[in-house]
Amino acid sequence: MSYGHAPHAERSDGLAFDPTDPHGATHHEHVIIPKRTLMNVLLALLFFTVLTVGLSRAEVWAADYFKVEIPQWVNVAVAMSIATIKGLLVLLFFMQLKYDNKLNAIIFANCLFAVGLFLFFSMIDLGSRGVVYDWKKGEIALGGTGGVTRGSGDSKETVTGGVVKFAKEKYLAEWGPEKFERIKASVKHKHDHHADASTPNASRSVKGYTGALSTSAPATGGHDKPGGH
Amino acid sequence: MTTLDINNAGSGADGRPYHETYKPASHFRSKDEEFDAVKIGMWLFLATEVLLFAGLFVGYAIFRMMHPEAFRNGSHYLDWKWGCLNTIVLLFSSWTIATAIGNAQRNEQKALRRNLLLTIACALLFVGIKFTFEYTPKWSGWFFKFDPALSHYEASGQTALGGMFEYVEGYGGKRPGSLFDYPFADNPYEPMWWSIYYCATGIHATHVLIGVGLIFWLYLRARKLHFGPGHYNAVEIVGLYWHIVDLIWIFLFPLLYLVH
Amino acid sequence: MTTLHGDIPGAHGSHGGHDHHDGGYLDRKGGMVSTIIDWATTIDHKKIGVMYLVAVLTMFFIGGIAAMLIRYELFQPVRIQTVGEMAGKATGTDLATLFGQKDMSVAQADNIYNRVMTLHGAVMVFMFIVPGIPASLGNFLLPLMLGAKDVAFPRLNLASWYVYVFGSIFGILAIVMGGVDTGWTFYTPYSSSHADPGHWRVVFMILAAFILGFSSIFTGLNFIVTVHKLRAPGLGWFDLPLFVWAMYSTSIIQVLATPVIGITLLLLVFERLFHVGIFDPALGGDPVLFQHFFWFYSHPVVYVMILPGMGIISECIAVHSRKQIFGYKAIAFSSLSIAAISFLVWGHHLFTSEGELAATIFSALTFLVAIPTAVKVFNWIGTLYKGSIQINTPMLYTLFFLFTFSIGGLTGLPLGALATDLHLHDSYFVVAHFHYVMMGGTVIAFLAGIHHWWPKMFGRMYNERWSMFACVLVFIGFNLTFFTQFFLGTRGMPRRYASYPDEFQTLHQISSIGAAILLIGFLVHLAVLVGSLFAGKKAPANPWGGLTFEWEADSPPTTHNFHHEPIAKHGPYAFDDVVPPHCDPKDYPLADPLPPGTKAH
Repeated sequence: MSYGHAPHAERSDGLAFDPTDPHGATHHEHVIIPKRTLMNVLLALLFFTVLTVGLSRAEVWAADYFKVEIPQWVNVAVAMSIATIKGLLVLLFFMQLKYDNKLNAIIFANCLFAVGLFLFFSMIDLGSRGVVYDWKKGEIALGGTGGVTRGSGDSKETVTGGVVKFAKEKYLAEWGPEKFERIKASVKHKHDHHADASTPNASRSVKGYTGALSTSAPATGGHDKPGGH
Repeated sequence: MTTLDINNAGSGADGRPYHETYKPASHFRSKDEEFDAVKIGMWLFLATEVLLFAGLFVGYAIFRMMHPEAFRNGSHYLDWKWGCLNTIVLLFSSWTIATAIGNAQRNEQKALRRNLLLTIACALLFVGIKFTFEYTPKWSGWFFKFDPALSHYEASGQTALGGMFEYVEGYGGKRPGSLFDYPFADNPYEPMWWSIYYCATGIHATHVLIGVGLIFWLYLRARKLHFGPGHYNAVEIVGLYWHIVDLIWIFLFPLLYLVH
Repeated sequence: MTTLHGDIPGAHGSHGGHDHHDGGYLDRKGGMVSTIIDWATTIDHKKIGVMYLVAVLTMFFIGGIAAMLIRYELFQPVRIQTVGEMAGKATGTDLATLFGQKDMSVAQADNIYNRVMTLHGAVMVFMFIVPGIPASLGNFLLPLMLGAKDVAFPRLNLASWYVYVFGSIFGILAIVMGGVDTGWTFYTPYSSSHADPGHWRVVFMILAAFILGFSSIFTGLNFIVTVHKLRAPGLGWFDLPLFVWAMYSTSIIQVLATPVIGITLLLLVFERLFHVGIFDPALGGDPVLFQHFFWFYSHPVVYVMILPGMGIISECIAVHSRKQIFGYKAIAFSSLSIAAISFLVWGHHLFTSEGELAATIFSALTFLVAIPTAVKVFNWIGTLYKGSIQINTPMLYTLFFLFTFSIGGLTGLPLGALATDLHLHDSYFVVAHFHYVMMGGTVIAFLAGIHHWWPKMFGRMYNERWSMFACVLVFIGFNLTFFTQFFLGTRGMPRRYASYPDEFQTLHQISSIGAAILLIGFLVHLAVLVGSLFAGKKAPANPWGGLTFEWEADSPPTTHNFHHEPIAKHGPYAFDDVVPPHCDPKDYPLADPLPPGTKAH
């Protein structure tokens, strides 16, 4: 007998399997999903879309009204949970995983597992740089070290320092501070409601860029060499 | 010279439509086996699609972790109303193509063709909204004349394309990486946000356009009565492709527009 | 005795039996033009397999020439001669001289070396070793071993070959346009901002790798579906030949890992063309992120390279020892677990660039790979024990594999340990380890497989004596070339350099001489195999006495593979109980014959 699979019921022609379907693949009927089910799923999806937008708006409103800073993870967790529910609805009904060959669900689950590994290990590394040596924490230069050439012909220019700073300075040099302030005031920045929105240094320091680069730009972190410990 | 009969060309001699006379490729034992195989193959392909986008999601997660403020500001630059409208458009198109499969199964040829056309229309609407109301103003500062957001800004009076587009001073330049030229940004890492935004939505929009091509191909075949209860493999797998495009948008939408 | 050609009424589904006896798949059906058109439009997995074989061996040849050029340059170090007041005349820039550039500066000469080195790496990895075994032998054998008429999606299979050729053309174009010096790994920010700024050839090379990824995905996807849906009646999962298990595991990796290199290279192209900055520290991006993205694909993919080789060895060792394979399930599941673990260890390529926490975790996980790999090696040795070993070319290569692959595997352990890796990182030790696994493992297994299945593929026997001689040459040449590099590495010779201190010269020269012997060995093989097509004896259907389905087909197989759909009645390696098909029972006296009709394992 073969090593693994369970013996099939003995057939009249003496074979242990059905010749037209030797692997016992389920002869599942092709499922025809009722129109009503599809419509209900669509309505549920639309409901969840409105819900997630509504909750996000409500959060902004609440933060504004009560002058509180709601932690970011709340926002992320709510939005991602609703997206997951919506995704499951699409997978189970529109993509018919609920009625389908289980193998397809297994393939998709494996794929999601691979995505999880990818995300998990990359984030572990990039989130934990500098946990041992302080010198790895140093930020090379806010917004990058610059030195990038862009454009072609007459409009060719070299970006020095951060791109954001460069864009601002270029604008100031061209139009002057008065116009800068006027336009800036007219442009609505919806992130004004965050207390630290205008601090360029609010970003978490970037850790562990290639060591050699720190010679070309001032690093803000400590410079203890590992040998010193 | 093909050695295997995998084409099963055309309809039968007695004039019956293709889907009634369809025979599976000769290396399959039955139509069911072929249907199963085609679907497994498509799911494997969908797995590769998800992993392709995984690179963008991982990039998003890591840069968000490193520069949370830049990403928070970034989502504020986007208008959730357009994102929400586009989500609804895509969800609706997912529904139409899911219904189209049911139409093929029930041999409702007219409804099948209608639903395929509706799906194409939704896909084009999605891409149209994306380019007209999101990419163009943010990249260049040029607003479509009927863009409701235009009323919030001080118009510069410059117009283009026969007045169809109006320029707003100090709005454009929100571009990825070195192309970034927006003078009023607050966080030095905002160009990274735009890099992720344009790469993710751009690759997604490319998938939408590929989907338009595929569904149009389905429509042309549906007009020749290729699909029916006896054979609808192509509708089924293009449908699966279309749903994965929708699925990815379901996650991109909150990550880009709502999380702040 | 078990009959192997029992026909089952109705076993062919709706198509009825194949009562017409069609000719071999190699039979020509007309003149030159129609033969070419026939091959170019074929959806026969056997022809596509042969087309792939020709294509990957061509690439192997191109990559091999680059390797010989590398060894030529390294035969002597570059020395700057100071003659009186005239300073800076360089000697030893052999490669530049070879290209007719006698008065080049050292930096310019190094530039040529870097391009040749990248050419070798990129061609060998992306165009030879990744598609190598799966697309050529795998394509040819997988349906035969399953008793199927073809792979599940024949047209996709042909498309994959065209995509492969298209991608290779991009790669060749990049080389013709002046070559690329990024190394096959395309590390940022060098590849994105500094390598040949403004030139399209780097983009072309990246696009070549991107396009080749699609051909890999198509093959993998096809094989998974084929194994699931097209197994012959009675062929359960544990009746599958171990080569099929290996191909199945390979395909899983191809499907799950390749798309990530797709997005990585796409972002790299964006980076080069538009400077989006995701991987560029000049714009606030992160170059180490590129390394994570790159190795999430490229580490699993080294198992795409080696797993098919392991599958071939499992086949050869059982057939040529005429013995039931030892630990069938252990080998089968170790293939799957290697595929699974391959996704957990990519960070060991980044020990010197990633954070300490991640490095520690990845180091610990890396050692897990050793377990299933060792399980395989022990089982192969267990199979040899008390087998009636036939010494012929495939078996010789199998034994060769066990030797070199074990060295390759064991030298991976000091590289997986954090502390030793910091010393050995980016040294010739890594080069030697990698070549012992990839060349001493995959290429050697590939050669074993080509010789094992050559009679089946082309219906001709090769000259055993000459090919065994070539095998010995390859063995000597290979070990001379790469064993010396372990010493070079531990003494501090870094990889990817065109020159070195004088004290390394002896070892480098031995290595270069070894490479020349290796080349001669390969050329003898080529001559023997090509010669066999014209002058070889006609091959019997089952020259080695194998028990898997492919030996039931004719040599070469007919267009539809089998005259009747085969039915599995015995295990793939039941040598103790079954006389192999097309073999004389007198040559295979069974120890304890079972009553007729009994299924044996």
